[in-house]
Amino acid sequence: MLNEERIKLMTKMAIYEKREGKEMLPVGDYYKSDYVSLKMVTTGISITIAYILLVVLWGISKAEYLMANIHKIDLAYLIKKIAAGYILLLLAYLLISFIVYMLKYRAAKKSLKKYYKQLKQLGALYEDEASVSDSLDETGGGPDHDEFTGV
Amino acid sequence: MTNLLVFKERIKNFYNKYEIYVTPFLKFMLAFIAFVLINMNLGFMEKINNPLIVFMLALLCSFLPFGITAVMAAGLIVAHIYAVSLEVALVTLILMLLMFLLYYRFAPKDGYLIILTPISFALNIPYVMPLAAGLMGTPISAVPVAFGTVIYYIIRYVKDNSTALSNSESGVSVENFTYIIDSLVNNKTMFIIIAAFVAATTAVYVIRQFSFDHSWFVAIVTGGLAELLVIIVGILTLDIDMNFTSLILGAAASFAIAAVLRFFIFSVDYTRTEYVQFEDDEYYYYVKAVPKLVITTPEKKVKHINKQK
Repeated sequence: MLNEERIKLMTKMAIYEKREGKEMLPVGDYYKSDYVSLKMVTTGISITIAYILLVVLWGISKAEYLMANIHKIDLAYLIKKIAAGYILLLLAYLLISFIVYMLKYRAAKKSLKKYYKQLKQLGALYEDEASVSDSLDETGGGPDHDEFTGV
Repeated sequence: MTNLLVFKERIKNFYNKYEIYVTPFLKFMLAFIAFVLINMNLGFMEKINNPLIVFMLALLCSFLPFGITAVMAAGLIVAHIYAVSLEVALVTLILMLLMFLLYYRFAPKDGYLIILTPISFALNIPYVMPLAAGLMGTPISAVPVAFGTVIYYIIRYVKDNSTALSNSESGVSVENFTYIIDSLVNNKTMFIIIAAFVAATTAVYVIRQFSFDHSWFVAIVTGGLAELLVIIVGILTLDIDMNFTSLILGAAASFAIAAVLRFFIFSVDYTRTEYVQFEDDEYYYYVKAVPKLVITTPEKKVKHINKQK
């Protein structure tokens, strides 16, 4: 039996799932701490790769100088400097990603709240329908002409 | 003004009705223009410098997610540069990877700004980009616009130096690496333009937040003036050669385009027809949900010519 109210609700939810929900729903599966720390780990990895690329780029652009002066360069000092730069960049990005993903998580939870409420409504509608058909079974009636009898 | 508003409403209705055709068409056009401009400016690799290939690729982009268009455009650029110089192609690739790792990963929706910025440079209206970015995004949108600017200057460098680059002896030469990186790092014009774009995006964003009437218009004008100011200061202090007339003309055109964009695109809620599918225990549902439209027909005004008694 088609239930118009239920179809309307389901349509609204399907549209949400298709639009905003696409981003929000996966977030809803995580605890806040899990979500934020997972995102921070992936940020850390991508920053590490990015920093390696940056150092390579710098190395290439200064290749001639480095080659010519390789015996003069204080390697320990250079490595220390590169490491310091890495740690600074990493910390800065981790801080940024912490803030960004905290806000994202909060926004997702807020947006999902309405969705979960609709889900509850949908459950209630199902229950109503089930109880109606149950009572029909008991009295031996059928749902065929409900629109006339107004049951 | 009323005519404009009615026209806007018409566009909105049209979009609502034909959304399934309009969006792919727009995506196709954007990809097509981007690819054609890349080929026109960098057509060094014969194999892909072919209208048919560009057409097919753009057609593919019309129904794929937008990120794919960005990746394809990046691939085309690197391939063309590779035909000229392996070193420059490598540097370009590394820079693009850096952009992806440092920013794009966090805000993949901003990818179109990276593509649109070099296009706007090619069309001589780069100043519209920060205005548009400020109108619909946040000050952080200046980052993809800056990336787009860097990509434009790489393309320009390769275009201007293609003979020198391809004439260098075969094999990888460290010198070419040094040249391309130095030319980017020492490109004062590029940095001034990026600074101007950041200033403009921030100015537009801050001012459009205010609630006075037409704040968006004031925002566009202020943003545009901020851009001009930074660039002029740059020209005067850093000894950059830049054509004043094209600067002013480009800025004026950008004002106008930003205003048009704001009126027709950013301020309209293009809620659209949705096609969704779902099921319950008994049925499959294929629903077409059409948003209810409030059509504002121009009101009839009765003007009394003779005095009422």
